[in-house]
Amino acid sequence: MPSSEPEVQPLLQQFQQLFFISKIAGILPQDLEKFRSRNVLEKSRSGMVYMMVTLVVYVMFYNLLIYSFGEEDRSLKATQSTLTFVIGLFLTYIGLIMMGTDQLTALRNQGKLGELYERIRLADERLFKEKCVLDNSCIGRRIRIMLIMTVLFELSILVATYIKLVDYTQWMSVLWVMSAVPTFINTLDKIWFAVSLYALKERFEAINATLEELVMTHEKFKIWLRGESDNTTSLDSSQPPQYDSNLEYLYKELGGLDLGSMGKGSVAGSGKNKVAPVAHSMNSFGESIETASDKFPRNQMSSNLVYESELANVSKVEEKLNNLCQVHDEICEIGKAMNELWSYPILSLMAYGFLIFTAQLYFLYCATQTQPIPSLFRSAKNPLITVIVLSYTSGKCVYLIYLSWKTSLASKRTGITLHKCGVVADDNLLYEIVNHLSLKLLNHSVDFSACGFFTLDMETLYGVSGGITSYLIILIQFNLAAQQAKEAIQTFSSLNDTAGLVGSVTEMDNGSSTLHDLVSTTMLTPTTG
Amino acid sequence: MSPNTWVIEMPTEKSRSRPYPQRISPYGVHHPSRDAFTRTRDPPTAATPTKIVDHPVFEDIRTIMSVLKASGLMPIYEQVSDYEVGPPTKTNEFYSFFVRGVVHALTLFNIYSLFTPISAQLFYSYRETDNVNQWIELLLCILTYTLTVFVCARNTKSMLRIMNEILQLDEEVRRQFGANLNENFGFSVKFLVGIAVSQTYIIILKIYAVKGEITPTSYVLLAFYAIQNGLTATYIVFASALLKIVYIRFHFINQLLNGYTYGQQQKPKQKRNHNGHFRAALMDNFPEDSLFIYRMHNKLLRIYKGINDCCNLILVSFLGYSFYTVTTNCYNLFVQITAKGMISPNILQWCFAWLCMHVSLLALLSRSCGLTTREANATAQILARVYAKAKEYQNIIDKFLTKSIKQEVQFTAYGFFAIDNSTLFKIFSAVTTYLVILIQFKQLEDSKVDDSIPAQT
Amino acid sequence: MFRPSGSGLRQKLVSLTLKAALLGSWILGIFPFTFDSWTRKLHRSKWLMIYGVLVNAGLVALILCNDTEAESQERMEVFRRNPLAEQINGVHDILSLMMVSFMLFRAYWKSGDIERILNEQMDLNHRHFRHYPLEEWCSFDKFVLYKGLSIVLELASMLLLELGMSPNYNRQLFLGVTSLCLVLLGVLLGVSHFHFAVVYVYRYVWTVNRELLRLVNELAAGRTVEASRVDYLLSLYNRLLDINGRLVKVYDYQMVWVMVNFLSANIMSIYFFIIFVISLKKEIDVKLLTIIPQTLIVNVFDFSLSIAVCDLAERTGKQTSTILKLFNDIENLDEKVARSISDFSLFCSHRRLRFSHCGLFFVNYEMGFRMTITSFMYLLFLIQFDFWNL
Repeated sequence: MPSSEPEVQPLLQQFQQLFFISKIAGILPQDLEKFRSRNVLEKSRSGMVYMMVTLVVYVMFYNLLIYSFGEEDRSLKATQSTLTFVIGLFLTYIGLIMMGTDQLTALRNQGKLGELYERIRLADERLFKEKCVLDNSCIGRRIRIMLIMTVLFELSILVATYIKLVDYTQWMSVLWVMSAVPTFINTLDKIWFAVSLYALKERFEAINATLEELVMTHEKFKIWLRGESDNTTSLDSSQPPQYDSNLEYLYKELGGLDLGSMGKGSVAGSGKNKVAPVAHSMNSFGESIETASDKFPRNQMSSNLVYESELANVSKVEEKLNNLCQVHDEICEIGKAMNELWSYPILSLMAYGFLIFTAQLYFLYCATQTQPIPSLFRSAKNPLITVIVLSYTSGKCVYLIYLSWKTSLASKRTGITLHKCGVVADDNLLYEIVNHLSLKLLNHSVDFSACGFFTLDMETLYGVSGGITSYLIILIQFNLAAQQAKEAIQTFSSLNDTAGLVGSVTEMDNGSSTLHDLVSTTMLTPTTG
Repeated sequence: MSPNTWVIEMPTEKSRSRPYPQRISPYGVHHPSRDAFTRTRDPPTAATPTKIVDHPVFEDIRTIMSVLKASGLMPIYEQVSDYEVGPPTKTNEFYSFFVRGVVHALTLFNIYSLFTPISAQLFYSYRETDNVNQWIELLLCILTYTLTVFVCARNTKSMLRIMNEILQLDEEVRRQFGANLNENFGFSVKFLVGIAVSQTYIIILKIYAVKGEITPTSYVLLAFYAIQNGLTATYIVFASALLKIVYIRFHFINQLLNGYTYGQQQKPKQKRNHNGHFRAALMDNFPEDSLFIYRMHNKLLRIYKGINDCCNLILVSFLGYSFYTVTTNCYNLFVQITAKGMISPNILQWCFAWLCMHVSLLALLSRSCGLTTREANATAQILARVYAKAKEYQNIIDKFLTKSIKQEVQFTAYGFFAIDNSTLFKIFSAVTTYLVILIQFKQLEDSKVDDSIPAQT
Repeated sequence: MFRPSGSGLRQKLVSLTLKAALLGSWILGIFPFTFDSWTRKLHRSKWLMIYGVLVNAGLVALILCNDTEAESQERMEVFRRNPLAEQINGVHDILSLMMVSFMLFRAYWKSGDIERILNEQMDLNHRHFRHYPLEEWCSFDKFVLYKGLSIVLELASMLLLELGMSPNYNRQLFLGVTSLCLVLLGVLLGVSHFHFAVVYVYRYVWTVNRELLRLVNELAAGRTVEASRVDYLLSLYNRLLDINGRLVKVYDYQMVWVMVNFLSANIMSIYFFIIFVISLKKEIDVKLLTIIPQTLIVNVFDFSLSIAVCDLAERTGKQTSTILKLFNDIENLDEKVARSISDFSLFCSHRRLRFSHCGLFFVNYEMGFRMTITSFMYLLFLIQFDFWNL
């Protein structure tokens, strides 16, 4: 039995670059050296101190930014209604609150984060024992793509706003860079969560795939059994398809071993946890061949004529299915623990997304009506920048919700694939095992929620969009009404002035009394209407 | 439409032909691993029926119970034995009737005084609409308290039955496992003190706010107002305490079951956990234990549902009243803070006091309901982690799991909405929506008033 | 099916209510079935359908002809003040009239299905449920009595509203009001068919629950139980759920329309009241104070009854699962019985006794609460429109 330690690549190996960036930006306090060398997250006092310092620095600079750019706001305050002012103030600081929540939660979760990834590693080991195929390389790729997209979005918003809307003749305008810091830090923190969630989804898919393999293998086995009696194809190894399939298998196995040995050496290796690739009795065109495939790697070299299916051997498969069920439960528990760790940051992100979306659209409307808007939301003056900001914010929220939903679905699919095993084997004993295990699987559910307040699935998205729409309607309606009122008052006051002039003229001239009457009746009507 | 009409013929333990398994001393003495949750070191001796000892359970919430008993909301039950309560004696029953009668008379007087100038001294306002607000608040308060008294009077028997069921459960647990399910209910006393303090504070604020000499009628009305609020709040704390009691028992059987899960079974047998939690139990005891656990679970679900049925209407009216109070107080607070004139500290304190009291009560209620509901629904999840080789054991597990598919329980307010951890959040989002609307209305009103003044000059 | 189930006054009243409802439905032509007492089956009757169409068309025509007489002075003032109110009122009136015709049309179109459902229910009653003592169905009795009361109250309140608000009494007014009331009665009775059928389903499910409870008691007392009894109860339950499903499918559009109609009538009456009292600042006299709130109260009572019956049935269906859990308490259950119980509980977990109209929402207290909150919000929006009506 090959030792499991070198073959199971820890998940954290993919996070090297992300951890480095997070450490510099002050998002995570864990130890850098230990991470580099042993791929573990451990507490670090110096890291904590560094994080607190960065937090204080950010807060300071952000307040400086608000103060220096808030000149116009202070003159606005007198003309604005209190509600708008209060809302504006709150919205200005919510980015900072969100950033603070992220960093303080990271400080609180120092030790637990390492434990979480350790649990994932243990679960990986168990999966490895059950011959589940996992590929961690896509995780590294995903992290890189997300980092690049974040940087692109942030830079484009920053640069566009700076060039178009900020007065860059003053040197204090350099402070505008600070406006991007809270969202950047928040996105980095969420990348950790999103990628770990994706990793969990992969593990669920691996379990599902293993079960599907069992089903497919058994189907092939049954076809082979039928095929033997039909005797359409002989089991002669000189037949090209079988020969090809066996060779194909050999190539795959050799390739797998090579990759495995390669993975040990490199730091950011391919990270494949492959034991022995599953033999597919399909030729390169994807057509099935009437041979059964073999699930036991050790026997491959010796005999090509052993066709077995695990599902045919019920007592052995019971052990395997039990273990898979237990690993499924363990991964669900890991998902719940992950949800716990990131509950407050996700809640603050959703609140931030909701508020900023509504506010940005409302201020866009105000800008089109050339009404004054708070200085920090000057990006609303330009529709293109508004679109970029909105897609960035909503993209973060929607992606997290989508990923949670998909992970939840993947965990629920295991029961379905398990039942397929039972159906394809059509054995009473196996049916009983499958029924028993599926009852257990029904109770392993992982539903991601934000602090227990609302679940992260597509229904929430629907509710949130309804909420945004209704709030926008309320705000715009009242704005319209207030504008109409102001215009009406201005008309009346101008009429008032005209009436005064006309009145004095008529008193002097005593001529156009009808005009005076007309004006006075017009003035009196609104007060009685 | 009583929802519990099917329970008429539920067999009591006495009607069973076979008594439940006797497992007292062998396990209590030879297997210390069974002895969990004990706070006392005394051996579980059988209590003599004639000896009247304080109930272990209701000892913890004695203060709240005595307050509720004195105010006629709870029956002054008789202690028949260690684990049974009986209906109150004639004297006590008469006392409860008398207290309720006084309460109803005072309520009628209160309502009458609202519609006459008697109470004009107490209910000033700075704005026309705020007078309406106060009226609605007062009416809601009166409605809530009257409803509480009515419902409690009607549910006396059910409450006694629930208490008896809890005590019988405790007796069985004690007999099987020698465990005392005691817990510290200090929070109930703290809440009582907090309620008393806040109500006194509110009375004092009101007295200071009233202009001129205060008539005795006003004192009476004010005192009754404070009593109404205080007793309603006390009842809510009592309901939360009852739910916490049920939670402890659910937690106990979940811990029992946890000993059989694969995680616990895989730990080495010598490893002892010193926190008093259940350690891995022998799989051989699983059939017996599982039967006991299933029975306990059903009984606890019945108790849970019984508490829900007792508190249904009271919770609906209290939540409505609470929601309304929180909205109006936030609104008044906002008006005060943004007022162009002087800020009245009296009103600020008034709003803060009410907000603190209601928010903490809502938080307590949500938390207790959420905890208990989660624990009740966790049994199936924990049972799903028990892996057994023997077919018989698997059938036992399947038996429970089959009947628990999609059978999550919920603590509802008369079926209108479920109360759990997210209720507080939902209430606050609703409050925010209405606040935004109210504030916008106010601003429109203000701008109408402000703008009509220059138009007339 | 309608014979008095006991000798008590309550049971007599119940059977009287049911008979009166049946008679009223026949007279107004909304129940186009004849009862064949020999085979105990209902049969569709074309003549009754034609009769129903004629009667209702005549009533609607009468209403339309005599409409102008029923407009009261107060309403005219409200409409002058707020044109939106007039528009909403017009839309509501048209929708109400359309509702009547739609209900009739759908009842006739689906009469085949209704016939089958009712026949099956009567068959079930006769074969299986006839032998159970009926004294304990107090929820059933209460509901039937309340429903009868609510129909009577609705009619009375409509009469009071129309006659009370109108300034002049003449023959045309009486004619219009009478036809309006008859049409309303037709609508109410049509809706009550659904509710009565649901309450019968509730009654049977309750009986099944009680039988299951009896089985548990027998097992707990140490006696043995046949697995066939459990299977028999499961088959009954299956049939009941099936009937329920078909019933909901037949009546879903009507119920949605009726509910929306009543809710909007409530919102509008509160809205008109507020405009009249606060914006127009008219004096509140006794007449106004009694008429409008009583319509509201009666409407709310009717609405809550219709939700209550569906919620009651749903709750009773949930109780079946709870009772099945009691079988866990029994030690050494016979294998066959255990399997039957297992099948029953699996069935209950897949199929629930729920009422879902058009797949939009489930009818229970939760939905009722949400509808109330939503109608309150719509009222706020409407008031907002009025507020700036300078």
